Amino acid sequence: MGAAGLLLLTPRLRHQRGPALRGAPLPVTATVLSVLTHAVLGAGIFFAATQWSMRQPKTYVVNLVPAVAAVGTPQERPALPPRAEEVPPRPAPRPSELPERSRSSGPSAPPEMPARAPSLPERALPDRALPTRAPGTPRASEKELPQVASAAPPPPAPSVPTPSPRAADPPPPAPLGQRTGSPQGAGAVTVTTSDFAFAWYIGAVQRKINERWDMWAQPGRQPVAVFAIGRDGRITGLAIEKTSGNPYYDQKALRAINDAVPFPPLPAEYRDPVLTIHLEFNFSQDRG
Amino acid sequence: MSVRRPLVLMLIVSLLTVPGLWPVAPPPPAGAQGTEVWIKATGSGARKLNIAIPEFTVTTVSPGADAGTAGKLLASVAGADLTFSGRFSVVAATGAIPVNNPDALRQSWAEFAAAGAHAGVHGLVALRGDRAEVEMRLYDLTDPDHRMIASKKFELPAAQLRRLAHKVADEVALQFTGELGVADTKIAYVSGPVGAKEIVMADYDGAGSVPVTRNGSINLSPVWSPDARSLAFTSFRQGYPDLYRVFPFERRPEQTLAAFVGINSSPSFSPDGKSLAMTLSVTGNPEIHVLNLATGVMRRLTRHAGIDTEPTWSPTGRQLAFVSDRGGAPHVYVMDAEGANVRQITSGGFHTQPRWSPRGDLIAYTQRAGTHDIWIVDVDGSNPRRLTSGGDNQGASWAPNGRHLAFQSSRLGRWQLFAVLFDGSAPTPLTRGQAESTSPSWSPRLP
Repeated sequence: MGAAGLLLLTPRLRHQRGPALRGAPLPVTATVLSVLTHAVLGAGIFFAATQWSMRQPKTYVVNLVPAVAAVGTPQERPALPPRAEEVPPRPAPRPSELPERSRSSGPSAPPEMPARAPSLPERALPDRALPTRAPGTPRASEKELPQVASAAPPPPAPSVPTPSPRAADPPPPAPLGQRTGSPQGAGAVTVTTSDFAFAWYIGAVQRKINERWDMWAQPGRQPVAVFAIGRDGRITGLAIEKTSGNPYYDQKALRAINDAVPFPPLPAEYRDPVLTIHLEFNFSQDRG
Repeated sequence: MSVRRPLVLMLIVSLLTVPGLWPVAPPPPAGAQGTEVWIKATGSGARKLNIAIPEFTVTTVSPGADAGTAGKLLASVAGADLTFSGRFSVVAATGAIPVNNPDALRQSWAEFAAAGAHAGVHGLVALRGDRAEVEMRLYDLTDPDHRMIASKKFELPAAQLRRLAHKVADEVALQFTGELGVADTKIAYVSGPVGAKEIVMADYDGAGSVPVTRNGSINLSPVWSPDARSLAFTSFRQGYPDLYRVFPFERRPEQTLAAFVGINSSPSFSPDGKSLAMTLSVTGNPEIHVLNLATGVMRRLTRHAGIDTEPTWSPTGRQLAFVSDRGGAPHVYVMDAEGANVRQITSGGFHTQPRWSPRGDLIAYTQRAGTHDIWIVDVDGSNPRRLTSGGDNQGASWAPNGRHLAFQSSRLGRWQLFAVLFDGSAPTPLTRGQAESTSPSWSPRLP
């Protein structure tokens, strides 16, 4: 736009020295000032627009709610509905000699989480105005996951009618029968609003930070840290985006992230060189 | 002309002063690229990932190979590795997913997902003669389409099936944590009754122990070199405590590293593998020396009338921690690699066996208070905390990721090896043999 303006301006300049103005003194100072002012203004607008548009696109909010299914270590074979046709060698997870070991040495996660699940929806958004998504943004419709906040295991859902493209590959697209549940309900994270299709990755990042996060006393406000994860899982640009009001807690938040590094390599199907994470730390009064 | 030229020039100059209009745009500020995601850390969320590991699918079997147990063994070993890591809960199962059957695969994952699994490992193993190849396919079960996260193949001699399983587990850990696991490692330790102690090594989980020394003498304090190819240790085979080096994976003769008058003990390889710190009493009382393994030059680091012993390198190689009784009781001190800047780290108590964490942030040591226990302390001496309880616990050795420690414990009667996480959780027995097992050294990741 700035360059175009320059091109438009040039012939007009030439024209001013044409026959109509012959003899009249050329208002050099005024012209220069005018041209300069316009150019700078135009360039400024152009610059602001590019910067703004660079920052704006792809702002997704992921609301991570520990789903109920993630709480306990599954120890028994799930109750499966009777299946119409039997897949020849059934890979049914029957309790074998293995669960003994995983049960004894891998204590399941504490079951205090269900209480917290319903409280999240509104507060997960930081206090910044999120732009409405442009209607033209391509969105994969199957990424619109249903809300999973109920404590009961998901019912044999008719909610998964998405015929996966792979299903069409084998000659007879055999009816899958009833799926035993909506798979996304089993996740450690529940994605309520997202076009970021790698919830497992966000869950892995969150687990590593939780591992190093000892949630000391309540500072009143929650610090928000920001950092970018590179393709190799290393981070750059770690900073406090919104202070808790107390430098000590801010430092603890930064240290939790530094101790959690490195994160997993970015998913292969995710193309961008970095993934930017805005992380809000919730302090709890439970301990410390 | 005389007017237009400066005008155009000034225009160009003024436009160039506006950032963003340069032909080459300046790099965008950090965070301006890629997707942005907002998440919360609560500290109380689920810390473990539930992972399903059905039996590996045997795709190819050459005649004579034992296919019946291979799939089961691989799944159970990899599952135990992931459980040990403290970051996964394994959803085990019997039965394998049939090969090349997308419907069956989808059905299995749907069932595992309903059972609470977040991820699934589909292992495929091909046994061809004396070679075994394993392919690991990792799936995201929280995704409705069970998207594949990663896949990788490993090949080893068929006799090393357990090691293939360890490699699969380490790769899974890498995909979910950004760090390779430590399952593909060894532990060397001292085994045997009083009077005859030999050095043996086993998988990190205690399986498959093989002898390293067989000299019928007393062999002590093995320690791995950073390339995981050799072990330094103290042996009385010549009647005195001398230092030797052995290459357990190679046909290579044992080396004598130090056989000076008096004590030659407490070996510790520098992180670059070029030097070996040790305790020598050749000068009269035990002092710390460093041997250059390439030139054979010995350098003395400490000069004190007290006992200085048990050196351990920082992962940067620029500092060493050691034990000295110069302050009365033995405590942990730190000095520069040149022997300068000695400062005391622990105080009040009786502290020995310091081991610097491979992450560099902690030093583990043994505290005697009636019985012994393993403690860790920040490298500046702050925040000491106890990791073990019950019985007598000594001789810690860090896993290469700085998350686990192996140690010897008498909590079940005779000395056996245990492992514990760096926060003191998940104590796990490693050895269960009839002989006593002591003085573990956890190897670096195998090459």
